[in-house]
Amino acid sequence: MGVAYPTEFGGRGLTLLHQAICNEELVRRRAPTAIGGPGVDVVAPMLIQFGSRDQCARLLPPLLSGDELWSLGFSEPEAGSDLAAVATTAERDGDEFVLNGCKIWTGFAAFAKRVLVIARTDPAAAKHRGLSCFAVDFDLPGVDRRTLHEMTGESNAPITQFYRVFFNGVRVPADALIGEVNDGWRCVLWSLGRERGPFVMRRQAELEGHFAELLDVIKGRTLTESQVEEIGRLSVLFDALRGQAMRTTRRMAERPGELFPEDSMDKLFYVYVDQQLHHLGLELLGEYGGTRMVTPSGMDAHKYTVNYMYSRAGSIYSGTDQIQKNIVARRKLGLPGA
Amino acid sequence: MRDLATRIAQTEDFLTRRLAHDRVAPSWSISEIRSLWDELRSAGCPRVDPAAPDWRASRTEIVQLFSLAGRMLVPLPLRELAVFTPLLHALAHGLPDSLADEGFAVLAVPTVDRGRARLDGGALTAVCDLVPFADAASAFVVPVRGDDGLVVSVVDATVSGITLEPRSTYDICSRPTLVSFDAAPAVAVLEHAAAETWWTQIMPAGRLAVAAETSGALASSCAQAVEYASQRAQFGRLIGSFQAVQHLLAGIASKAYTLDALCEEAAACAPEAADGMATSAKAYAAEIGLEVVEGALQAHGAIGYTQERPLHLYLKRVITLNATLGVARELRREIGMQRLSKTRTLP
Repeated sequence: MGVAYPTEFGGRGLTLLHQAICNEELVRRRAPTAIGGPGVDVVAPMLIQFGSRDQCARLLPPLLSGDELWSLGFSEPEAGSDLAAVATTAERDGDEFVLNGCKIWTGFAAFAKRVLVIARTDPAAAKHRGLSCFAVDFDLPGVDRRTLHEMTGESNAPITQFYRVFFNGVRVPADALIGEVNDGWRCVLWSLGRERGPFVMRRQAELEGHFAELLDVIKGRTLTESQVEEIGRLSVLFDALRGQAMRTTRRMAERPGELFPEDSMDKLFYVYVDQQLHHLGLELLGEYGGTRMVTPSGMDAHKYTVNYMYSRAGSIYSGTDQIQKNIVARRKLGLPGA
Repeated sequence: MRDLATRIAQTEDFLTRRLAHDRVAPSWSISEIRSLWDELRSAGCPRVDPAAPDWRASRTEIVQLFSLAGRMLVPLPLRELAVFTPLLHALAHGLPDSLADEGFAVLAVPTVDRGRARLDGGALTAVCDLVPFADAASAFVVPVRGDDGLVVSVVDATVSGITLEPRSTYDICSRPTLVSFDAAPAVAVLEHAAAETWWTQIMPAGRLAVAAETSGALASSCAQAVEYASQRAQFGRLIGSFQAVQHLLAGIASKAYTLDALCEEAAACAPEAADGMATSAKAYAAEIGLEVVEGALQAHGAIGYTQERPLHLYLKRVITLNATLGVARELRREIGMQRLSKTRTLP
C-alpha cells in the first residue's frame, strides 16, 4: 500500500504521482476500498518524520504491507474540534508510561493491531504544550474497545465502524513514544495536515468511480431535463476536483513535508462534491430513496441511501468544514484575529 | 524567447501604466487599439500561436493572459486579438488584406431570432447582435449554417452594406454593437469540414479564455474583500476578525481557488481531454462567478453598492463573462448529454 514510501521500510519508493495513478487504477478495476487508510496516510508519515529509525524498521513494514492495521486515538468525548483539550494522561513510571482515559471515533479498532494515541504528559503545561504521541498495542492489558453505532447501522462496516476505546492503567513501554516528550501537538498537526493531500487524491478517485457506477446503473433510463443538467453539473465538479487534486499532487511532490492552508480548501471541496453526488443518487432513486431494497429498475437503493448518509460524515471528520474555514481565513487569507 | 512568466509580468507592467485611468474605461479608437496591441506584443504579451493550427498548443498562454486580463479589467478586445484572429490565420487561407499585420477580426454570430443568415454568391445578409468592438474591427468573421453545412465568411469592415448600432452596457470591458449585413461582399474562407474544424477550435479556446478571465476577476474580488475586511472596524473590532465574515471569505476564496486549479488543469491535461476540460472550466466559472463576487460585495457592506470601490466593475464584468459562449444551464445540459451518451463511462 505504501507506493510513495521508502523501499527500506517496505514501500515502493515511488512518488505521490504514482500513488495517485495507482489509486485511479484501483477504482477503475472496482477494487474494494482499502481499509488501512489511517495507518498509511497518517501514521506512516508521522513515523518517518518524527519516529526513531528503530520504530520505522519495526512498525512500518507490517503497516505498509497491510498485515497490521492502525487506528487513530486522537478525538475524545470532550475533545473534538478542540483537539488540544485531550484529557487522556500518560504518566511516566520507570521504563513505561501509564495510560488512562478514553478515545472516541476510533475506526477499525476491532481489526487493528495498534492505535496512535495522543495523551497529556505534562498536565501543568499550556494546553498545546504538554501532549505526546504513542504507538499503543491493542493487545495490552487494560485496553477496552466498545462499538459505537453510527446512523448507517452495521451496513457500512468496516469502512466506518467506530469504537470507543478505554485505557485503564495501560502500561506502554517507553519506546512507544513517537518524537519528543511534550512535542505531540506538532506531530499530530503535521500528520493530520499531511493526511489531507493523499486523502483528497484517493477520495477523488473513489468518488469518480461512484459517479461512473451511478451513470452505468441508470443507463437507458428516461431522465428529466433537470436530471440531465444535474449530471452535467456533477461532471463539471469532478473535472474541477481532478484539477484541484492534480495541483495538490504537484505541490506535495515539489515541497514534500510542508503543510499548506490549501489542503483545507481541498477538503472543503471534495466533501462538497461527495455530498452533491449523493444528493443526485437519492434524487435518482425517486420514491425508493431511504429504502433498503433494490428498485425495479435495478438500482441498489440501500447502497445509495447508506452512501448518502456516509457523505454527511465528510463535513465533520478530520476537521469540520468550520474548522477548515477557520484555517483558510487565518492562514491563507491572513484575516485578523479576534 | 522570454519565458511565459516574464512575458506575463511585462504585460502586467505595461497594462498597469496604461490603465491608470481612475476606473473610467478609456474608449480607445481603432488606431489606438491597434497601436496598443502592437505595444503589448512588444512587451511580450502572449497569444495563440498563428502557426499552429490547433488551439491546444497555446492553452497555457490563454490561461495566463486571460487570468491577468480578469484581474486588471482590460478594456481591449483581447479574445479577438490574442485567440480568434491568430486561430483564423492558422486555419484559413485567402484572408482579406485588412487582416494582415495588426488587423483583427471579431466573431459575429448571426442572431437566431433576427431572420436566417444567407450567403448568396459572395453577398452576406445577416443580423448579429452584441458583436464586441465592432467599431474597431478590421473584419468580421461570420459563420453561416446553410443547407449544405457550415461556411465561415469574412467581411472586410470597410465594405458597403454594413450598419453598426452601438449597444449600451454596464461592463467597461465589452463594447457591444448590433451589426447588420445587407448583401455585404463576403469571402468564404472555410467550408464544410474545414469550417466545422474551425468551430471546434474556437469554441474551447474561447471558453477557456472566458473561464480564465472569470478566475482572474474572482481572485481580485476576493483580494479586495479581504483587504476591506482587514481595514474596516465595527463594534470596536476589524470586521475580518468576526468568524461570520471569515467563513464567508474562506468560502468564496475556496471556490475561486478551485476554478483557478480547474483552468490550470485544462491547460496542462492531455490534449485529448482539453476540449472537455475547457467547457467544464467555463461551466464552473458560470456556476460560481456571481456567487463569489456577491460574497465579496457582502463583505464590503453598503460601500460595495456604490462606485466608491472598484468591486462593482468586477460584478458587471462577471455578468458579461457568464453570458459569453454559453450560459451555465446550457453548458451543463450539453455536458450531461455527452456524459450520458458515452458507452464506456469509466474514466
